[in-house]
Amino acid sequence: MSDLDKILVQFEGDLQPVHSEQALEELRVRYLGKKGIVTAEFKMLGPLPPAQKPARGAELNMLKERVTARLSERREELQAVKLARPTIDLTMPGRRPQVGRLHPLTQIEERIKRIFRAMGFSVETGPEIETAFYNFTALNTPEWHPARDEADTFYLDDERLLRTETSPVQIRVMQRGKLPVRMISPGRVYRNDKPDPSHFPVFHQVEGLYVDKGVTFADLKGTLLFFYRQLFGPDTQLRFRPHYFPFTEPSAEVDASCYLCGGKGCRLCKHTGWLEMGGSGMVDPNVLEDVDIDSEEYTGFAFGLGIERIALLWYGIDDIRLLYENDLRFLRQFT
Amino acid sequence: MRVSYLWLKDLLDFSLSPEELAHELTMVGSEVESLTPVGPDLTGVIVGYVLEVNKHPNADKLSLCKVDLGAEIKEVICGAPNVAAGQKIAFAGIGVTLPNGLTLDARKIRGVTSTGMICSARELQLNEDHTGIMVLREDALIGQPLQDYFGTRDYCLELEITLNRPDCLSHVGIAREIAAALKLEFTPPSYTIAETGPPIETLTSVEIEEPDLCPRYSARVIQGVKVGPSPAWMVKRLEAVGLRSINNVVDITNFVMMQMGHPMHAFDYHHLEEHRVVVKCAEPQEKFVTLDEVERQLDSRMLLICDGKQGVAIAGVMGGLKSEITDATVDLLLESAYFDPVNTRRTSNFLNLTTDSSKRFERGADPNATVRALDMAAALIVKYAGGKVASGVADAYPRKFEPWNVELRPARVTAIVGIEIPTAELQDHLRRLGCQIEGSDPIQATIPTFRFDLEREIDLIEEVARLHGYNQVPTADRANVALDVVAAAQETFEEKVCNALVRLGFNQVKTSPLIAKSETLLRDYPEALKLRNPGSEDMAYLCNGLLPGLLKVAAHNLNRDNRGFRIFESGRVFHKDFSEKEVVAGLMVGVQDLGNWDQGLRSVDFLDLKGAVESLLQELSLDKQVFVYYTIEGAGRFTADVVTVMASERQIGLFGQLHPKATAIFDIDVPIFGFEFDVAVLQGQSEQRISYKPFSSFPALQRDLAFVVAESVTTGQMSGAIINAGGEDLIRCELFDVYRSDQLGADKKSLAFRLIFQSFKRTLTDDEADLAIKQIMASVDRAFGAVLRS
Repeated sequence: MSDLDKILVQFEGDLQPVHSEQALEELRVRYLGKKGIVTAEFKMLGPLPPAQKPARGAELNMLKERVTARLSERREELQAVKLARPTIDLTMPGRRPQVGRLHPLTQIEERIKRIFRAMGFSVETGPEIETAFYNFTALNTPEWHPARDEADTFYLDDERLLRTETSPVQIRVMQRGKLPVRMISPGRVYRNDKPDPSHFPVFHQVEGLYVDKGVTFADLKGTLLFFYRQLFGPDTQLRFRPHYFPFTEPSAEVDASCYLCGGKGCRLCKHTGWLEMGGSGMVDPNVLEDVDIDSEEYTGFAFGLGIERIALLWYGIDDIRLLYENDLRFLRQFT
Repeated sequence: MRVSYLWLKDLLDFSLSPEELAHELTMVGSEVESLTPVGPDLTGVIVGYVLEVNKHPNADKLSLCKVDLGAEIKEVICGAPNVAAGQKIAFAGIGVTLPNGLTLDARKIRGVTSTGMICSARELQLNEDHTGIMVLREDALIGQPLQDYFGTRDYCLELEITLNRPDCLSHVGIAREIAAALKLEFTPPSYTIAETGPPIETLTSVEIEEPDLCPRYSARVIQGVKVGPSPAWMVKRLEAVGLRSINNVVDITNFVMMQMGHPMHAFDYHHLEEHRVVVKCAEPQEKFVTLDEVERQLDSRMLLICDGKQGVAIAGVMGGLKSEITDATVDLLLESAYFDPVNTRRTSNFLNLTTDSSKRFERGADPNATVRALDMAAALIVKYAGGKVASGVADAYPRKFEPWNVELRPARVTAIVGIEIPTAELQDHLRRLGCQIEGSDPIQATIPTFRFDLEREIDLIEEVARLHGYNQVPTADRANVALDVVAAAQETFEEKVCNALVRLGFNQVKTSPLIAKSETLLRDYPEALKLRNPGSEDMAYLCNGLLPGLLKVAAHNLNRDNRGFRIFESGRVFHKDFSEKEVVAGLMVGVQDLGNWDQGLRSVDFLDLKGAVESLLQELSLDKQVFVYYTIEGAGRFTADVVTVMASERQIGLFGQLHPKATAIFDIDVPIFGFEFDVAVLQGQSEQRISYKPFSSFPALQRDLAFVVAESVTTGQMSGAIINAGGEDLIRCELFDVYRSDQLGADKKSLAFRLIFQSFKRTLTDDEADLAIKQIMASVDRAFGAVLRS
């Protein structure tokens, strides 16, 4: 056995017990460092006769390569072991940054607004304290209409009241005198109702209006069908039932096919297959004339829907009051 | 309103099942809210014939009967005393469920098995008779379902009649709707009477003092009637729509009202002083006892039907007790009038008294139907109660209503509905609704006086559109998008504020803006607006700020073991001058960062709140604005440690710890930190457009310096002085440690700042940084006596 073979045997012996990267590094230094065993052998090349140098140099290089290769083999082994054996309990809970949530009513409202914005509707707002003129008279509500009663509407004084719908915003926008008008007005409205599972004196509505030349009932149907399909899914069907609203004529109640059963009938739709969504119709000519729009030249459609109603249906909430109680166990469910 | 399926069938020959009829009515505008079968469910009960009756071997009072059901013969035990061979009876076999919910099973009674039951009327819920079994007529067919023996089962349809359609508050009105929808011909029934009594002028007179409130009053007198029970068929019809039978005369007036929609009243002729009728307003504070034996106080705007001396009925609402029809009534005066809708509604509201009659008058009856209603009632009374009808009608009609004309242009129908409906079809629809039609373009429609809602062309367009069918109108498959849509900037800004707060861990809440007086009393809040007609005391005021609602939510959640949370709300608040503004406010409550379970739990504090507010302002591009700190003397809704945020000399909002007196209103006894910002001012100060600013590519130098200063020197003062003295290359100065110790001495603290120097022009040298630090040290020493900590 040559002296270099002995060094290799000694190295293998030293490598055997090494099981940490630190010990491995120490071993590398001991053999290949500035003062290492192999390095020392290279230093002794100098004094050798020139004839012996190439052979000895080649042997030394082989030794160094061999040592280097064995060191890196062991390093990889050690790293593999380290990766394979976790040092932390992976099942411990992570540290979670606190994230809040938007209220479910806001989430529904934003979905609705996104759909209408995509159809070119502007989003308009207006005061919640309205006058009887904007809330009723300008909307063609007859003087005798029970909606004007104190049993239905909250009054602040003889003229001022809390708006019962967001349609007054539509009057204010039409009064600006710029046509066409293509808008929705989302917002909070008030009715003198006793709180119960399906009523709350405060709730939210979205009302829409489109006034232009040549707008027809067929356009109303097309627009609402597009909207409800975006909201409830592409298979949604609509049904229009005649109704009476002072603001519109002809007027229609809009029913959407139940998104849960697809119209076959289930508990959600009370086995009718239909969900009542809100009122709609062609803007009454009186309303247009009162804001100086020529009702022979321009026609328009209007519609309304309740945000709470959609939230209750969509999330399967059975009591509207939950939306205003703000229990965090409730609110945190709406991701 | 309730209608009977069979009653409608009496009036119009149509072939829809009750369910199909309900759908048809709903789709033509009278929504059917419920459809309920009338009377008990007799399914399974059949007609049987008693072949033999024998004594039960083990019981004296029971008998053993053999009953022939046509297809088979059954042995049943019967306890009724009246059972006898040869009777036709109602038989319920094993497995049949009786109307009272009892399902029959084979039962052994004293050793003998009974395989069915012979029913009493009460067991079938037909009436209260339980003295024995119900014995059927001879003509009953053995084996026939009992329901068929009684005739077709009736159904009651509960309809939602819209406010504009009082003409639909009757079976005739609904029959007309059905005929129009199904394209059937419909003629309301007419009644002819023989006027065999004396001329009416010799019996009574009608005088109207208030023609505006009572445009028409018609009366007939019938002499010699016999008040008694009504015919069974009429009782059945009335009961089907929920009316109880009283006597033949009253029932007939109700029957006329339910069939024709015209309310009527019958007076006992001899209880009318001077046998005459005067229609006038009540005296102020006049007292009047109505049929229901309640004394009511009237006012001088209420219309009263009087006899020669005093009031006998509140017009259109309810009759008086004194002149009501009794069993002793022989002669009667029938009233059929038209009262002003608005005044009737006022009277009904003021007296808090709604009747079938007031409901119809306040929505609008037909002034030209009064005599037809009288004739129908008189014909039925003569038929079922006898008597002679005086000849002629006492008919005061001072304000005559004539049918009017409305034009309909077929092209206009297309312009509104979006589909061309043939002119002939338009004419047909209008004719079926009772209009007289002339011409084709425009169509001239003469409107019957029971359709006062048809005044304008658009009213006719709605009629033809709904009869054509809304669902026959095509659905447009394109939208005509306007390109000048104005972006609602404020509304999107509000979305931005909400989204930023959600990212910062705040949950959005929505509270009721209607709150109790006690909740409006937070210090420094303006006085709150009160509703004139609140629904309840705890929802009587409009919120004057958002903190009350948020505190209520905080209390709710603290009471439910929620240990820590952040909440916010964005919405309107209202001021005494009726103005309103958009505010965003939030609260931080309890334990901070519940998600970091291994870092120890600590309560949220002022710096958590301040950090959240700073992050919010940064998210809204407002972080370049200046905070102005100051303490409010005497403390309002916040404690003394409150921060006012100012930008461009406008107050944006406040944040700090809420005052314990404010939180105590809501029974909260833990520290609460909160903020309130004015959204419009926030938006005004927010940078609308973000423009890119280049950053230096030269390396930065970092120097950490700890200064010992007096406790009274603030971090803000120190960092301000450092930034002022540090020169243009000092780009950041951040506090990273605060240290106090005995060595430093009482009233001293060490503030450690990390300074970053960086130039846009070149690599800075250590010497340049050292020079800047020298200037900084000199400056803070001069200003605050600050020295470097050794």
